[in-house]
Amino acid sequence: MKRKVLAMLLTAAMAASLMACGGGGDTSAESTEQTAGSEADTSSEETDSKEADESEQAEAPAADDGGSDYGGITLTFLNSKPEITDAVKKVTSAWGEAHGVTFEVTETSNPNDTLMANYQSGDAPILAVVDDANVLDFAAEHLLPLDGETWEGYTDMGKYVDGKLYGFPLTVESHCIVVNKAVVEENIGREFAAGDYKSIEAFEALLKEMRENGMETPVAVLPDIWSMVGHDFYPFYAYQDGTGEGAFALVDAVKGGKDIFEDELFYNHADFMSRVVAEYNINKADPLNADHDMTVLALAEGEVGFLLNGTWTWPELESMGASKSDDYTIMAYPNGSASAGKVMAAPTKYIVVDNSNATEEQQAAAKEFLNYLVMDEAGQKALIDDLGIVCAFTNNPNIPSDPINKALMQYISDGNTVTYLPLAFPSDYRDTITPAVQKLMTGEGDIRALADVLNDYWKNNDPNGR
Amino acid sequence: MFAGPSMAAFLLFVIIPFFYGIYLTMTNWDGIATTKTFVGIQNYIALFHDTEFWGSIFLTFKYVIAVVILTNVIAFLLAVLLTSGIRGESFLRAGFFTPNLIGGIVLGFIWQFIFNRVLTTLPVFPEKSMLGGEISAFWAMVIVQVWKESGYMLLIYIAGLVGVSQDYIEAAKIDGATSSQILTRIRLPLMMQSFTICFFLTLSTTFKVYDLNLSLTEGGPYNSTKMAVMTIIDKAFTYHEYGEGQAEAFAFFIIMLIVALIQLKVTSKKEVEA
Repeated sequence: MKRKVLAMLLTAAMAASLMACGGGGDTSAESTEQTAGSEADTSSEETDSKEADESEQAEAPAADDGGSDYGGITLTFLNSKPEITDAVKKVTSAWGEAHGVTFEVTETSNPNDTLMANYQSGDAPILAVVDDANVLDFAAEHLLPLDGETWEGYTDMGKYVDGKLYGFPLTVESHCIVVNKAVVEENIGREFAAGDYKSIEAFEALLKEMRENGMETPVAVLPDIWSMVGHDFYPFYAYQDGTGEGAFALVDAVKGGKDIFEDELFYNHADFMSRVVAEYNINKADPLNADHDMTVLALAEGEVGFLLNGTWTWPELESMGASKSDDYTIMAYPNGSASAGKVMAAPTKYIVVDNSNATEEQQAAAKEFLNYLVMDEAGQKALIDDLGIVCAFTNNPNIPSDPINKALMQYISDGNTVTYLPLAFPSDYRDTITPAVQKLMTGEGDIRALADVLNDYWKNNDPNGR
Repeated sequence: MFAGPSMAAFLLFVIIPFFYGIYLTMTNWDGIATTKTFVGIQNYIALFHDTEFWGSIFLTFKYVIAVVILTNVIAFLLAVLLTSGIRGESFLRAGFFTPNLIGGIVLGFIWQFIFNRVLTTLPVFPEKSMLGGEISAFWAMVIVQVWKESGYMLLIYIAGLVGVSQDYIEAAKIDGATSSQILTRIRLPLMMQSFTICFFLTLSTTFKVYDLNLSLTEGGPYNSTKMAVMTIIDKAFTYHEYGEGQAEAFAFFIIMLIVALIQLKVTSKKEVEA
């Protein structure tokens, strides 16, 4: 009898531990983070502080801009753009040494889950690199308004929520097709100009030609949900009229009863992805279970000419042997809209400052650091050369050194960009449409089924960001 | 006195969070806000209408049944084999136990590599990965979980088998019992406690599977392998519906508790005293 009682108690205790884990301050999700946003698919969360490579520090831009000395305070910095973590450590370390600030840089590929856990445990980072949706979610309760900061006058890409500025635009990126131009030109025997392939028909003809010339599958599509679902199936919002308003109008129309299947841009894009891209995909046999690294490597090694991804791919390509002198460029997802040929471009990452746990001194240091990145020559250089990004500030004269971001700069300066921002998708949007998109890409579903999911979703949900 | 520190820790890290969790089920907290509004049983009403949640519960039940049966059958048969006096017993025991030392996330990535990059290149397997089909991905998860769990259960079964007094075995042999009769009539009834423990452990760990689910299939393809815990975590953390997610966690806890108690009752009944 005693044994039975003990066994029952044991049962209750072990089962209760599940509830307890979900109860308060749970950080289990933090250690098992999923791939999200435009990031690599690592799930690690590294912690470091100022032990950046000594030699790197020696080359770090001088950061003694004559600003304040904070006497050894610590600023925690959460970075959700893993490919630039080393560069972030280098830049923060250089500025911190000159201003008596120690930066502790941590990394996550899922800023939502990490910040939720951090705020629940009262241990939020002072500075955080986050996605658009995170600014919307956390602004009201936890973030410091940054209105009136000097840098505000040099950009129109800051993230505003309810009229207040919360997000420092860290980088402008593009969901686009990355092109190994040298490989394509070698295959077709003539110069490749992205502007010649604005329409689906023209791009399809190019792929057909490349196949006839010996490259059986000239396109690489990443299997990751954040890419295939989160990026490859957003263009029909952005190209409605090239602005966020057009994207909102499409959503509003669907809410009002329009069948999205009847939307020409939606149908043509879904058809392009499921018929053309799926056919010429190097991962055609098993598009959902291909290896991420091998897929990117296929572009770096010239097995394919095109990779559906974005400008953030460069650090990955470079780590796989691509050189800044190589001939890469970017092109838009082909479509039949008036904006065809323009690439989607928008600030994709913002730096925010904590307003729940940070002291006034920490907030002041954080704000001074952000101004340094925009107003100081060394900071401007650090943004472009060290972080390797396309900058959202008009006063920065530096030009990215890699071919992909250079190409994006050219699109921006020519005015050839479109966006769906400030439309932001509710947090369950991507999960909801994932099965229909995946089935479409594997041939087990059709455009009608995806349209039904979208119709149903937008009838019951509102977009964020308006 | 001696139990004081343990009890304090148990209270702090299990009991208090448990009741705080129940409180959260009655709020509309989103996991971010500093305020929580009391909404009564609204989250429980919502969970009864949440088809995704109940679908994941049904899927988890199927998964648990497959894993519990296969794990225990394989572990028991291996235990019989490894107590029969074959060569290299110790080495094999250590070998079978090793998968248990690998964490679920790492295990998932290792097997993802095997399913996607190794098996697909072998001529006897199809070119498409097992993780690419709805049914095959489910069974891929079962295979990995069984591979991991059976080594641990194997040790418990071995302990049960060798723990049976040799007196009974000798007596049975003298009475002319065959090996299979000794196994089924003597050893099995006397080691029922091992079954009780193994079934309970496999039930509880399999119900709560998340790490393997995340790293091996990420719930895919087409959300077809999204188990209950992943559904609950998505609801609470990703969709910012913490109150409803917590209510689902509580409902899941009740379901697990009922199943575990039934299992304990059934298997305990079959236990005999030596």
